Amino acid sequence: MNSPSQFNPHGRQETQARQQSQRPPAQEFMAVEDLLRHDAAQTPVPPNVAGRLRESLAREPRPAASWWRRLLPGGK
Amino acid sequence: MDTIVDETSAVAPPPVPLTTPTLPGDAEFAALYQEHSRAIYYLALRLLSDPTKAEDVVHDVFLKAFRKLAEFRGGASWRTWLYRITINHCLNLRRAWQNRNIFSNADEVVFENAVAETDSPFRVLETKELGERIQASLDALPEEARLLLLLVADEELSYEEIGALTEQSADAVRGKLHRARKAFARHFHRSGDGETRSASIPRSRTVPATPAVPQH
Repeated sequence: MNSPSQFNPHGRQETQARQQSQRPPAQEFMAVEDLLRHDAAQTPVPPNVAGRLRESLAREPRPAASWWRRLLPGGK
Repeated sequence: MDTIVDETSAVAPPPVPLTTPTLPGDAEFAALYQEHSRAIYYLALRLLSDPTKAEDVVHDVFLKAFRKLAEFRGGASWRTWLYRITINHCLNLRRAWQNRNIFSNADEVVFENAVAETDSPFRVLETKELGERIQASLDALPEEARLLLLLVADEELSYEEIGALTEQSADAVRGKLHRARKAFARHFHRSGDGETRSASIPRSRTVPATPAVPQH
């Protein structure tokens, strides 16, 4: 059985219009830097890297100095 | 000025915890990773054109940073310090590849002869395609131009800091960036030629195959 839209060109147009409206809005980038920032925001670090690093750090001797106290905001 | 249109929206996944703090300093180092790892990964990815090697770079850079924490004096920002380690690491990797492979410098000519083709609006249809087009456009640039574009895209860095990272003056950075932007835009337009010049022409007739990300 044919779908109603095949008999109703207006229905097809409405479907197309609805599909168009459901697409994400276009984004404009005024400079190459903006494009690269957008790309970077869409490029997460693969989660396995944190795991690998965690394992590597576990094998490392602890830093001798209290570096975080000297250098990070709020450190005392 | 370039106008580049993308129909996708950025959705950042939640950050992945690095460590469960067990010793003093672990939480702070995890915070460093959370704040900077994405920038480091992106720089490495686009410099090396290789996701697997970019993962290795992130791992190696943060491990090296952990070992050198006592050497960090606070004269630069954490981001700048980590970038310096990353750039040195990536350049060493690229030089090692160049010693093993014959590289063509044909694109240097394209860069030198780049003219502005930046007035046409662009329309990018897929996120994957966008990344590949960006990578292909960056790959067509000389190494320094690619690096400068990636660094200036980081809003945390000033021209002075970029100059310090690339061992030149801020004015030199500005001048080179001007040419780099034009060259990038030219390659980006060419990679999507047809798709954006006439939206009424069927896509299958106008969009060439997206170049694959080169694997080294």
